[in-house]
Amino acid sequence: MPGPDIHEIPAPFEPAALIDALGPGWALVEEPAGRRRYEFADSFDWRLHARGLRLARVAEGAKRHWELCSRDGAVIAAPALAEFPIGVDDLPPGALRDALADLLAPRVLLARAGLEARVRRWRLVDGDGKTVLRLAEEDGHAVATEGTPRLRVPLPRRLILEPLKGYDDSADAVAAQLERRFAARAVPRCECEAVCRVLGVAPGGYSSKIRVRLTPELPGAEAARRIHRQLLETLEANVAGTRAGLDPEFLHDLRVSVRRTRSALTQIRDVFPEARVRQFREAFGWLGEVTGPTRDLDVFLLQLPEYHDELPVDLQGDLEPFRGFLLDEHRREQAQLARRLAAPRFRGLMTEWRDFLDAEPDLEAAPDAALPVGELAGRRIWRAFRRVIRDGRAAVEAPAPEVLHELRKDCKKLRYLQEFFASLYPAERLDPLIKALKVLLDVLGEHQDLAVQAQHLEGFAERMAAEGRAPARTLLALGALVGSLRARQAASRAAFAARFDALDSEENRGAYRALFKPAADPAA
Amino acid sequence: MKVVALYSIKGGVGKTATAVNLAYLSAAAGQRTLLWDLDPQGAASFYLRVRTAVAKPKKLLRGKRPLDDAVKGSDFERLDILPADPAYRRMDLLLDEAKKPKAQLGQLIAPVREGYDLLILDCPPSLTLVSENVFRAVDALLVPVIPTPLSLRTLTQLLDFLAAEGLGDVAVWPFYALADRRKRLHQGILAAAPDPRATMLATVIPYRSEVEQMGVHRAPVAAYAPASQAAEAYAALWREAAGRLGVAS
Repeated sequence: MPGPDIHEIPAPFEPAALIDALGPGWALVEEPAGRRRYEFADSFDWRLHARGLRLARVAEGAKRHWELCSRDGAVIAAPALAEFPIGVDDLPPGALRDALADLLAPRVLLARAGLEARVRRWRLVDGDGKTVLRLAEEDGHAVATEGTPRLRVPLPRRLILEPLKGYDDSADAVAAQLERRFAARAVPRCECEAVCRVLGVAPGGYSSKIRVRLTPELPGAEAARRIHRQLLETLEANVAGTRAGLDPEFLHDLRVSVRRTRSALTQIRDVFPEARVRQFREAFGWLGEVTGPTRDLDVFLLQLPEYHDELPVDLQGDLEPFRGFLLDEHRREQAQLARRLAAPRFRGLMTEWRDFLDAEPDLEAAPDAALPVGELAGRRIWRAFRRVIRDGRAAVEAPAPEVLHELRKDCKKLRYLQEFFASLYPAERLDPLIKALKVLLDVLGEHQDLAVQAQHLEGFAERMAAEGRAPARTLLALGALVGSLRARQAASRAAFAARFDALDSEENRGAYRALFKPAADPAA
Repeated sequence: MKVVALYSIKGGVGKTATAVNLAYLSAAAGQRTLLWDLDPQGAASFYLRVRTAVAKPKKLLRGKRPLDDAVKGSDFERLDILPADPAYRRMDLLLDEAKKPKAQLGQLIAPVREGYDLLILDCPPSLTLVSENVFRAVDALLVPVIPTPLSLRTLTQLLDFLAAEGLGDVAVWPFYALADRRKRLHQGILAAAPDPRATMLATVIPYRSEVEQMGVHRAPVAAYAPASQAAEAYAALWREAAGRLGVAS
């Protein structure tokens, strides 16, 4: 499909003036005018934007369709039926869904910015009476999709030339005249960027990654404050989506922020007054706890297709009652979570924590509050690394599940510290270390997840049985799943030693030593 | 992409008018539709106001130039046309030069399968290498039959030919066209059972002057006489054919 050619024009389009410019033999036939509405869609974390894709839902009268434009100008169109938030399964089967499925799931599409325009239309007709080009003039506003009242900002008038296949010459001729005589200016096909700009929406503005800029001489307390502030921003950004249960990633990102916050409170130690640290650690511990059950159910619901495939064919259908059970549980837990996130305890925590982070840090209040973060960071990372090596070597000797679980926690602390302080180290030296650690964390994470899943499945099966909701074959299916999860867990335990050896290599240890070991630290 | 052809051994049975009207209705129903005018007379192209000339038609038929290069947008959304060219008079010879002469048409249309939901071939009358290519490329043959013994005889000839060539499983969907209920001959044939080897479509396209007007308006009937009997008949034929093809009507 050839893409339209879009021009900004300073004054309303005058059909007669264009015909004059084109010369005899041409005519512009006016078609009925109308209104057009674009809603630019992306996930909360801008996954489409990150891939150079632009997705708009275009509505005209009662008709609505999707338009997906890629960086190279190719367009996929499809009928749009569902209402926001829109999951992959709500998209019509076909090229559009295929293009977005892997990229988007499990996130949903949200309307991020809008455009409303009056449209006037013409057909350019040649001497044979054949239509060779369609023209549409859009005069409209960028419209915010959030806030009351909705922000509306006028946009420059645009003339859209839609060439008919095989008649591109005519479009080129008209475009040339527009530029020469009507002071038109060619603009990009998708106006999403321009609309976002005038509305103050920043595409790609959200990321769950830690991106704190620190300098080595910054006092420890100040550095910690900046890290925590960013974690708090990520947490708060996900509250509304979590409450509304838009997609599982909101809660996931919220929980990651909570975990990182708790880890930072313990790991970046001696920079805040101890009593406050204890108080907030407990409070965030509570938040981690109350958000857990919904997340567990999210994980199970996301895992179901995999579970289904893992079972023998004759048992696959018997998972259906389990699915129903999960959905009921999820509905209940989600409702409770939504209430909790609106209640005073949570709101109070957010306010108190922000007040604490916004206050000028007291550099006398804790032993390392004034210590330059460059020094503090190396000391903490080095310590955490040595602990990983120590516990890891013990785990290679005796890889019991609880030993591996503890080791995983050590590794996570190390990983978080590296992320918090990443801006203090050259990326080309730090990144390979993070990668090596990630390889180990993946296998430890899988090991732990499988253990937790097996344990939860047993718990669910018992509850379903107690509530009289479990047909015998469903229990059999769940039993088969627990068996296969345990087998996979054993396999990942076997894979652990080799991965750890890579982390514990002479080369890797040397790299850590060079980058993080404090000069004064006598330990090797 | 589904492929159908408007085909008949006999000329003047209403192939082109049907091809153009069905293509229009398919596009209006939301299908991305391509109409390929294979008839060197170029009547379908004329009806849709597209000039009958293709740049380098021989290269196109030899597969040296993508079909898509020659496609023209019609005046109607989602409806494109591959216009005819006078060189198509020698299409048999051009196809015969291909490696697999009977499958060349199928090869040529393969690259446009992604871009369209339905391809309608408007075929010249005859039983030649072009027709054999068509038979091998289509999901169904739509065969207009005038309710006269001569026209019915060509349907039988077609079915005999397909059976003899091992193409007995090609779907053949005949329908009565240019039917004039005032003629006793037509009445008699419309009432009788056609060749049992083909499943007749129930719609009958009547002989109407609105159809002849297509050449004056240079548009499908529904575009200038939407409430006419002819427009309704084509709409009914389209619904029936779309139902059998499994596409939206």
